[in-house]
Amino acid sequence: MMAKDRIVVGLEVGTSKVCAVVGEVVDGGNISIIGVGQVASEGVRKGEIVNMEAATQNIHDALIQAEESADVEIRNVYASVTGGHLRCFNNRGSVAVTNEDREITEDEVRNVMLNAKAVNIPMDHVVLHAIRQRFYVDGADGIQTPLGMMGAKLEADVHVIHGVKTRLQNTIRCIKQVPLDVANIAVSSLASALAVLTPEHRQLGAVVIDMGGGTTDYIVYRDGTIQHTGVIAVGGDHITNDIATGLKIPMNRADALKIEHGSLELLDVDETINLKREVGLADREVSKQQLCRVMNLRVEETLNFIKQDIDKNKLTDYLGAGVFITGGCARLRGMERLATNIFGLPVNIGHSHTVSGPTATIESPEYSTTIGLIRYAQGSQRDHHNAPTSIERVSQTVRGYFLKIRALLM
Amino acid sequence: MTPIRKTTESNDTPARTRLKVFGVGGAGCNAVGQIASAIAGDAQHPLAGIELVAVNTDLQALSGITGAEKMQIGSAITHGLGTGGDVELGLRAAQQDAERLEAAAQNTGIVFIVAGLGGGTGTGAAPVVAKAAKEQGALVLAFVMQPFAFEGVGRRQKALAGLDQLKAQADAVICIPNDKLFKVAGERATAIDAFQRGNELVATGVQAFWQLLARKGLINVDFADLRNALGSKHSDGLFSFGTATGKDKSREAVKALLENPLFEGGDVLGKAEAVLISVLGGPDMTLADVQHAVEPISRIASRGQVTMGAAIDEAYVDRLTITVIATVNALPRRAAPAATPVATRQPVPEVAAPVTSSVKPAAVKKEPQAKQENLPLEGVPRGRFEKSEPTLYNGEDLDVPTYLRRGVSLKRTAS
Repeated sequence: MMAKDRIVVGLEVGTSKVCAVVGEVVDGGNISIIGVGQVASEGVRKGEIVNMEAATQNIHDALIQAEESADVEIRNVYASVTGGHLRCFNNRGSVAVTNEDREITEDEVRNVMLNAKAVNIPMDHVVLHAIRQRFYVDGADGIQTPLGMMGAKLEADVHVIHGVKTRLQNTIRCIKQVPLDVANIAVSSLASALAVLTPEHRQLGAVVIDMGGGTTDYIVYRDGTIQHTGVIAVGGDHITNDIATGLKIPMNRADALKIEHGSLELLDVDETINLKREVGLADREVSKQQLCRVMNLRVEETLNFIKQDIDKNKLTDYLGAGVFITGGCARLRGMERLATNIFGLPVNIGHSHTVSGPTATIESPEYSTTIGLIRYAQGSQRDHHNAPTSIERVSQTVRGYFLKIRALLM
Repeated sequence: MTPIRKTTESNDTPARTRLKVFGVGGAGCNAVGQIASAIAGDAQHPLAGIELVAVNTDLQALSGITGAEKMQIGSAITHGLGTGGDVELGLRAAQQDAERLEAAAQNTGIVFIVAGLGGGTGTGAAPVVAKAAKEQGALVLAFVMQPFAFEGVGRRQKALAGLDQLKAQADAVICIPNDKLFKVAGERATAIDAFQRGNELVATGVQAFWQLLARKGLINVDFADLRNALGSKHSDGLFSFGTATGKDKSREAVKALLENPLFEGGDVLGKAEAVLISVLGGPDMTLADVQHAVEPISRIASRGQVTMGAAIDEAYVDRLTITVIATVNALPRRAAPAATPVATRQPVPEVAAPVTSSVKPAAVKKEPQAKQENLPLEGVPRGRFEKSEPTLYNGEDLDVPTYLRRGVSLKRTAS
């Protein structure tokens, strides 16, 4: 591998911040974080870009910062995507092994994956990930690598994540306007899990909840493979908005209040918080009890949705390693206790202990997704199979789209 | 789920379930006129056979309507002219002809009152019509249109006072703020289009009931069920509908319903005490379609009593419409009029004391008045997410603060 390939950049165009992390793959496949760039995000709501111009500028600024801090030149990035439009399901594909000697070769593996991916999704959707879970050879369960085995029938379970094509393209187009190349895209929950979970955790079974500014992404691992994923377009922004409406204060004050005084624990005795006079804003007194109740209700509701979803998919009994909460909202006071009450499982506030680097970066839960992208990059470079990556599929469709438009115009 | 009955169909509608629509005042008569002309041109129209009455003080406005029974009221007071926005004049005009109104409402199962609030006749006369119909034993439902915000504070205050009067008389009041017509019709719609859409909304609402009672049904609802669900609640209502075609029409129709601007994120549905779901489909409609259409809604409305009906219209091949009418019981009679509307940012005294200020009731004076809490007319605040697509999850709009959806009070405990 070229020296150049050892530098990998993860970019998250998030609702509250645009953040780029530069990682270096050192010997033995370990990752070291060598630079970070971060600016407040202005063009994103609920995880999706609503203002291309502002988002492009933010990406540009964040990357300049990252380049300076890591002292490298950045040409391409791995980007995370999210949004309430993403959907997932599990599917099984199967092929007959037709070789003379009935040996399963790479061809069969590729074909069975293609077969498993060939599923009905809405017209305007595109498959973002098709992640292999396990193989079956002649019905025998739990095979991880069927290569070289003998059999007549090969089956594969995959987890398919798909989303609205145009919405996914927005992120890519925005990055291309900087201009930068997008090496690949990954769904946020997958990236976060790669940063937060060790292989042991994945084997034991775990759920990673990435509660960010605009969305809450979650992913469930069972027996080392991804079993379920989901996105709820509710995040820290909603908490702030609830506070602003409930206490009748402006958004920026609500945000400061959330960070400074907010907690998810309900108070028995009320306290008064004095909001200091600022330019244009008068003195105000607010009740801490109200503040905490508003926050508690929102986060409890969101976590309960996830709990219900996991229960519905009958995965609760397979989460041996418990719940990992990451993303900016993981910093909320009382999160650990609230989540423990809801899930009845051990709860960890997850940060990226799978990489090395400056402690301030890797111990911050809000960097999990970006750091995880570097792990994802490492994995996808190592991958042998030549199937087009998700970015290729999406950009191919972009190209096709333009050709069609051009044909129409001419 | 409450009464689901399969009945053998009889096509004649007995007297108990006769349904009459009273359009009161200018806007009400317009709506009735529009329904009348739609029916006149189309024998297969879903509302064919419905009885329409146009009630107005303005003789000239009445003369433009065909296909509906016309009733001029207060001829001795206004001499065939309009009320010029004077609510008291409208009230007196209706009282003068109360006996005729009662006669018109006789032997009718359900009386719909359609009126635009804020003017003279609609605001003043509609409560009297409601009272007259109520005294004849009918179930009285009112569809009222609130004035546009740009029509000024004075008109809005009149409308709010009139709304309180009406709620005290009618069984359920469904309020369509005209400002929402913008959302329904789109910013670019012409004024005529927008008002027409408003009238269509009313027609759809009336149709939902009409179908429940009169059409050949898969699942029939009878009048007793309706009365049980909606009667004497003096309630605020929500009304929304969705139509879809194609393979997945029932789910799509639910989606359209939940995304209808009239639905306002549906927090009313979550709190509703009585919910009426009407499904209309073609002869190809299956019970599974009905189930898929009704189940998500009744799940959201789990607190309320759900009454449902499904009807078949030959013209609705591969098409399905769901209409939901939900009512929330307002505060009990004794409760203080503390009701400061959550979202009205207007000065509130008129709202808190609606009866005394702008309308001086002559006949209603000595009767006990039910004090109603007003639901916010502008819907729940979405704050930062005002312009973004709502985050719908199981039919709830998650952009609306949780404490509002759950109805948690943020009143400060004494400390």
